[in-house]
Amino acid sequence: MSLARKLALFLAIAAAANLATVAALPRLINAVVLHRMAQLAGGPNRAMPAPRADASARAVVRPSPDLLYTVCVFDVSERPLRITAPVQDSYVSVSGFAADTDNFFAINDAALEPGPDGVKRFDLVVAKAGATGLPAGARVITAPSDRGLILFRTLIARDAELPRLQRDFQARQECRSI
Amino acid sequence: MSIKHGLGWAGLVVAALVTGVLSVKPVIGLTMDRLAIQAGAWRTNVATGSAEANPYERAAVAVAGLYALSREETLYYTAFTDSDGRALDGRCEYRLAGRPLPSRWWSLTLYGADHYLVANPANVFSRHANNLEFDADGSFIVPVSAQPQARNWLPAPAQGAFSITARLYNPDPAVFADLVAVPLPTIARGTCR
Repeated sequence: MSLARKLALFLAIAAAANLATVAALPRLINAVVLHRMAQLAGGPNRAMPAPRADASARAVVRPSPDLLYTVCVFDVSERPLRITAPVQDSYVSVSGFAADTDNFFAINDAALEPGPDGVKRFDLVVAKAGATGLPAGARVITAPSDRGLILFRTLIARDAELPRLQRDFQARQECRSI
Repeated sequence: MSIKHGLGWAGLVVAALVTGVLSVKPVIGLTMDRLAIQAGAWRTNVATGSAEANPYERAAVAVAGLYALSREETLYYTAFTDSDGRALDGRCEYRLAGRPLPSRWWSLTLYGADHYLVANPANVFSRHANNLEFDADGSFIVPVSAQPQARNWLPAPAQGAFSITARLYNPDPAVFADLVAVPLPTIARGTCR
């Protein structure tokens, strides 16, 4: 084989190895982080409120110090997940991240309609495609992967509000199998 | 095929595989440079968190912005340089000058080279509408330095590279018409040690 053909083969293999590694990287990083979070939470499908991020926070890169994060590693391979949370009077969102790290949904307080009692609250169901027996009334979101992460973001608009937000809102953010 | 010939082919394949893996980081960097939208010192990528992201964008987000929201929920602009294109350096002092950003909520957060918050005696990691003092005309100045400052101080590491991320939660719809025109703060470098 000529030198030119060898070089072309070398470049083709290198490019394929590069793309394969890049394609696998998000899933690998995500799998490690999800495994660690699920261990800390005592398993998947459990909400775990995290303390306000400061310089000691090392769970996830580039955390916002102005948000309270609650994480929930989900596994909807067998049963759907129900997500419920109260809504405070400033920004709060619930978002979902698939196994490949894509943000497959994000819903914030502004997009919620008040219930019959005039109060806004999150009531969501995450299920795999084709799931049956889902609760009536809940907003259903189809997960693109069986495993992933649900993330609650609660804005700390003012430092003085932190204890109230943690007690009355973050502590009541829940996710559980149904 | 001789043993020598076979070993030659195996060496070529192994070398190509190693080259492909070792080139992941620079190729991601080059791809992100090419796809980034630059607005002064700030850069953003509209595919962040989105299913539209290509494998290189998705990998870059996994490394340096895991669980970032898609643009409809939050726009992220990050500055790694000052407005003259020089890398942000903890040995220097900087002055951010700007106005409130067009969104429901916004913040400016400083991160060290490792992408984590930087320890400082004031425990201040970000500046936003509720912890900034504004001038009479609605503008603000944020001094960024390792040394404490009297007003609106955003602490930086004493040395090494750092970056600042502007988060725009629920951006005004007009923002999406021109992502370069978003009125992000200017970053002027002052003295360096």
